[in-house]
Amino acid sequence: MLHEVAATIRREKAKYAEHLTREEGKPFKESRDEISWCATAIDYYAEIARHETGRIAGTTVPGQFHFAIKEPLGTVVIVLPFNYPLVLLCWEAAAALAAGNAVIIKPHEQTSLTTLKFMELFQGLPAGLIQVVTGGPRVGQRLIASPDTHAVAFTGSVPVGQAVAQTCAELFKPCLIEASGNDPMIIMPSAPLDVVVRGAAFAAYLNCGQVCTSSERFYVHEAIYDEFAERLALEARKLRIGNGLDNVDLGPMATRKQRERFEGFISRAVDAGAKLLTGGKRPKHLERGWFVEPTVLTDVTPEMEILNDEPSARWRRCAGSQASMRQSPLPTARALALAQTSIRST
Amino acid sequence: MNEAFRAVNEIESGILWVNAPLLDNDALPFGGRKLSGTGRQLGSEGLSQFQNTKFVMIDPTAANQDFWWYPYPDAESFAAHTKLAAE
Repeated sequence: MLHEVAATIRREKAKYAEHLTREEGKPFKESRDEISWCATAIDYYAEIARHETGRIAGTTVPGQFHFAIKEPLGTVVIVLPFNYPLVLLCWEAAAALAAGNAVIIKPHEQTSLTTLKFMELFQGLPAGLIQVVTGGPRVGQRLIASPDTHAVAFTGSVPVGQAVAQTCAELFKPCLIEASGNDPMIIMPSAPLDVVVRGAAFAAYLNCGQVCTSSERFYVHEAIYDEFAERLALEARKLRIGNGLDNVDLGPMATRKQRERFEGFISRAVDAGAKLLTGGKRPKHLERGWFVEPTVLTDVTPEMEILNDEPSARWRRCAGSQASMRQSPLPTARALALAQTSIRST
Repeated sequence: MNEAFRAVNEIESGILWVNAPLLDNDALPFGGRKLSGTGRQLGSEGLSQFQNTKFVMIDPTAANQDFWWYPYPDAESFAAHTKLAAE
């Protein structure tokens, strides 16, 4: 049955990719990719879940059977962010369903319509096995704390992840927390600079940096710092920004709040002495939509909000962030900060 | 490759990419360390997140386990203590 769901997803990819781009904003190409990854994850779990369901140990008492079996937990609650609403859903729901659980999904408010529409593709499964409950934080809290749910998979910010983990800890309810990061990229002179620059731009600006694993900090060996910064800025300026359904590299950020957060980080970093090498503004040719230019900040120092490890920065990391480069952990390297972005989970 | 493996060994993270940023593989565990979270998606680890492992022991013959259950055999008290009590 899961293989049939995966096959249907592949067949209907373009339609659901359009919904995803219209609601979340990412370029259509990225939406298509995301939906392809949904199908592969479902196929993968459809196979491996039957591969092993436990093991038999050698008995310590003659005549007895001693073994361990893998069984479902019950009803799994999956709380999702807006950045990859479908692939994260599938990674977790495919594993939970293949393991024999029922699933309740609480999508982010920004991507609820896409998620509800996507559920059409699961029609072949028994009624009620996978369900969606839309709403805000209170809905999520109720589902997580309910005695009738048995495991939680949460993807989102650090503070909310901590609250989810605390609720689950009191109930000894298993939970999986994916809470973003403030991911560094270390750049050494041994790497070919042409490849590095393209790789860095992609890692920083994919989905406007609204990726839990996007690169926000760049620690660059001093021998190549200036050249790298200059070429990265050139690369950033080459990216085409616009409606995700057009031929573009970057769409808008997902929400007004995300863009305001991004602009706040940039302006505070500049106030604190960071240098804006490129970007940081709203593109002039786009009057509607939450667009921002891909940004590179240099002269970023470790104590700045944009890089530091204080709790506020942790919040920033998951909530919205810029790529930056700065003085690095390597004695011979300098860093700069790169940006565009607002981060969230996975 | 020396630099790459130094990074692999010394960086404390759930994911490490060398020249291959942001790739995933359905067969390998995806997730973070420290404040990036706990648990894994994808791979066999991603499946285990949603499984209970139940430990089972069955004696199909329902044999008496005299070596293990009550009453304990009298002779198995602590020898030195039995001797002291007798004196």
